[in-house]
Amino acid sequence: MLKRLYAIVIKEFRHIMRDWQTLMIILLMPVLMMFLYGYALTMDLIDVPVIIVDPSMSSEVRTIVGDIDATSLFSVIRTERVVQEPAELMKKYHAKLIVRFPSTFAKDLRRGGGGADIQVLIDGSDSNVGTILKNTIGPLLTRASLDLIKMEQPKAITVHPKVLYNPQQKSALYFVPGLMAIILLMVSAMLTSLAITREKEIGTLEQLLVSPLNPAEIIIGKILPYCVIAAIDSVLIMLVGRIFFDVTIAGNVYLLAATTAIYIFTSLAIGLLISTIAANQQQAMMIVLPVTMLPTVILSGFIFPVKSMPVFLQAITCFIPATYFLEIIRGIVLKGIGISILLKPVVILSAIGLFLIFVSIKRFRVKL
Amino acid sequence: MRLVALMIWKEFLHLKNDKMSIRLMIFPVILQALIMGYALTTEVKHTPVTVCDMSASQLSRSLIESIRSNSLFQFQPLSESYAEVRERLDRGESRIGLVIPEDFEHSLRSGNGADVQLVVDGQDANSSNVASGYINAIITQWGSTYLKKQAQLQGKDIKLLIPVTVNPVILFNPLLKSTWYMVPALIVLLITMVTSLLSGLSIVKEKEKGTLEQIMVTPVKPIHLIAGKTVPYLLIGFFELTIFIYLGVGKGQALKN
Repeated sequence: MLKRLYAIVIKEFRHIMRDWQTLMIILLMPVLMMFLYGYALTMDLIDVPVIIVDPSMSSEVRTIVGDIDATSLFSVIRTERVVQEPAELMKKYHAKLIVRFPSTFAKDLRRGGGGADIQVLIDGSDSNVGTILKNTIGPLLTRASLDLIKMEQPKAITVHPKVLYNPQQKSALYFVPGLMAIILLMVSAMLTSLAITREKEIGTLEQLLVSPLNPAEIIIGKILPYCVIAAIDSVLIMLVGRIFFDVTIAGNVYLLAATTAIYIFTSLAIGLLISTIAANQQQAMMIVLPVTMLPTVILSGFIFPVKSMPVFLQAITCFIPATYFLEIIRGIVLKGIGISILLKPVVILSAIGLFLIFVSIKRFRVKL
Repeated sequence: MRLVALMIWKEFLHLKNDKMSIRLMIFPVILQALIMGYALTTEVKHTPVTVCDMSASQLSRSLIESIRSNSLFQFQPLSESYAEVRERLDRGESRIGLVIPEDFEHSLRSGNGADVQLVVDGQDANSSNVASGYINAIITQWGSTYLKKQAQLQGKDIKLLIPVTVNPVILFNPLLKSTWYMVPALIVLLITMVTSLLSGLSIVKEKEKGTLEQIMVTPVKPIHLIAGKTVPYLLIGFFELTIFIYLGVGKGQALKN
């Protein structure tokens, strides 16, 4: 039994080695994707262009403008005296923010008793950026103005924020574990389904079936090499994350390895199931992309928070294995929590994997 | 010109016979547009919040009520201790924990200002920033309302306390809906996908069947062929664009109301 299994594993490895271009893509793609996502997916805001409208050109306003410009978030690009159409001005200079001081600002501020009104116009087209700008500019302007007249800001409550799990708020810490879920699914599900449908296409699957090998040996033998590749990829992802993006694993590495193995197993089961449905490689690709990749990227919580989705889409996310794996891997890498808290997603993920493998073996046998 | 028209006509005939392709280029795309339009929201909603109220006073309860009544948060049961807050965050049941200290009411009434601690699950820098910004704004709002009330009780004018007011106006997307930002981007993405796929496939199909060589020996020049293969899909692209804009604008209008 073991000898026959060994033979089919060796055969599959030869297929892979012969197609070394694909192998390079499989091994280099994770690294490439990490750099792409790592540098393109950062939503950190720096040097947001600001236009100041100040009819009086007073020294008070200039001091406040200096305070705005001194922050890393804002960068003052122009100062105008008069403005008719603020929206036009914003479009013309690609500004995200216009701060309008009234002509009597300095006088009103020194006199006290209110009336020093500052109008802030915010480009809200990107809603999150708009929210952040709105929440930042208000307190910044108030503090700068009060500093000018040496006045303490009366404050009822001081909020002391404490950020857990990712105190420096680096986006890499969040996306590297997420990317692991995407890449492992891609490698395992896509490659196994292609490997089996390829044999179907060239008719060699039938030759294998009439050989002394039993179906289980064929399946396991064809899957094992891709397990190895997926494992190499996951180590590669964590290494690149460690070296280039400073991602350290807060929790237990062995638990991470064990749960990753479960996820790889589940992804392979998906690939296997697809290969029993598809007749050729083209069909396999057509099924893999919309059925597994797209939902995983969009609905698993990889980029877009599941909690913000409508309820019917949240229900769909329950059927995506990556949803559970993301919870597990982020739990281990970022939060450093153990199996006692992660038991539920681990059990569900294993159940999905077992179910899929059961169905695909059943279907595989029917075909004989 | 006549040759181009003929080629275009031929392409439409192909399309007419290929009902599957027509279905494939319309229904899944619209479905994708709808699902993505709903799912691709970077807005931060329904953030689960837990509060540990050590003060258990009238003022702390009023503060909690102002958070509970806000629809941006999903209010979770109260926690007994900081340890429980931490455990809820570990379990992922809550993303934000608010700890109100014992001396909260006392410090507020004494006029020194109170302190509260906000424990934030910072895994996703973006959404945790936005969520803690929201809760910060609610607490500050509550605090200034409290100050105003106190000032009124003492017969002072609140305007004297803070001489500056900042009035924010949001342009272009006044409700800060992320759908308005995402749908145009989505249209670009889907149109690129569909039209490049279809026009590519139609030429490859001719190659596969060997009819491309037959066309080569006719008076049809490469430029006619390319025009004939692209114009139909250009029209289909325009048609889909119209549907997307209709859907997008319809959704936008629905959101406005």
